[in-house]
Amino acid sequence: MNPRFVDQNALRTNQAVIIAFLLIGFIFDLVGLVYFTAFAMLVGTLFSAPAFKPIYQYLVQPLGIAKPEVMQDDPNAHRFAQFIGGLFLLAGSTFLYYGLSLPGWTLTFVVIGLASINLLTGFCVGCFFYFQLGKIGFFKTANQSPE
Amino acid sequence: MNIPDFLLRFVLALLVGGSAIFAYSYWINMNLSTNSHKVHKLTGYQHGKAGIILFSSPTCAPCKTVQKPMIERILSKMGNSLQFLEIDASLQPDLANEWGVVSVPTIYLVEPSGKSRFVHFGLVNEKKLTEQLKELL
Repeated sequence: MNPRFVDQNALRTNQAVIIAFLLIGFIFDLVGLVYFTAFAMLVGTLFSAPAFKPIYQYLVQPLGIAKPEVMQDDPNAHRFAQFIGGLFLLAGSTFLYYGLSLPGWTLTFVVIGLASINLLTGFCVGCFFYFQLGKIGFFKTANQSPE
Repeated sequence: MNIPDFLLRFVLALLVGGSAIFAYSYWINMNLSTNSHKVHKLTGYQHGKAGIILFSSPTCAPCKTVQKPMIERILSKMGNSLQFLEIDASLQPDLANEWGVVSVPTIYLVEPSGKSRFVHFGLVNEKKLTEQLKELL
C-alpha cells in the first residue's frame, strides 16, 4: 500500500478551532455555534478534510502561525475521529435545540475534552477506536497504522 | 448583585476543564507509578542507565517513519548515556497491557534508577523528547 501523509498542523489547527468555537458557544450560550461546528465537522468528513481546513490554509499558514508538518499517517483514522466527534455534536445540538441543556452541553464537553487530549498530548481517541475496529475487521485499511 | 450568565458559564467551563486536566494528570501519574521499576524485568535492559522504551508494532507507520528515526537521531547526539529498547506490542500484547499501552507509538522515559518518569501516548516531537531526556541525565 502506498504511504499516506497527513499535515499534523492542519489537524492541530482544526482541533484548536473546534475547542475555541465550542467553548465560546458554551460561555456566551451561542447554540448556533455548536450547530455550525457539528455541521462543519460532518461536511469536512464528507470531503475527507479537517472541518476548519480553510482557516489553516487561508489564515494560519499565510500569517506564519504554523508551517506544514507532514507525517506518514492514516488520514482515514482522523476522518473517522472527526466523524464521531461530529455525530456527538449533532446529538448534543439536537438536545440543545429541544431545550435539554444538560445532555446537550455534556456531549459538547465530551467533544471539547477529546479534542483537547488530541491537541495537548497527540493521543487521538477516535483514531484508537478506528484501529481497534480495524483489528476486528470493520475497516480494510485500519491495520496499516497504529494498533 | 446578579452575576452575568456568561461569567458563570466561564467559571463552569474552567471547572470542567480543570477537572479534566486533573483527571488526565492523575491517570498519567498512576500509569507512571504502576510502571515504576517494571523496566528491570525487560529483556536487554541495562541497570543504571536512563532509557527510552518504545512500544511499537510492525503495522504502525508513524513508529517506523517518524518516531524511531527521531529516537535514533537523539541517541546519536546523546551518546552512550542512554539505552533504547523497542518492544513490539503486537508480539507481546500481555506486556503492553501490563504497561497500560493503549496505542502505538507509546514512549516511556526511564530514569537511571529504573523509575518511569515520562510517558507519551502517540507521537512526540524531538525538542520535547530531548528536553525530557536531559532532565533524566
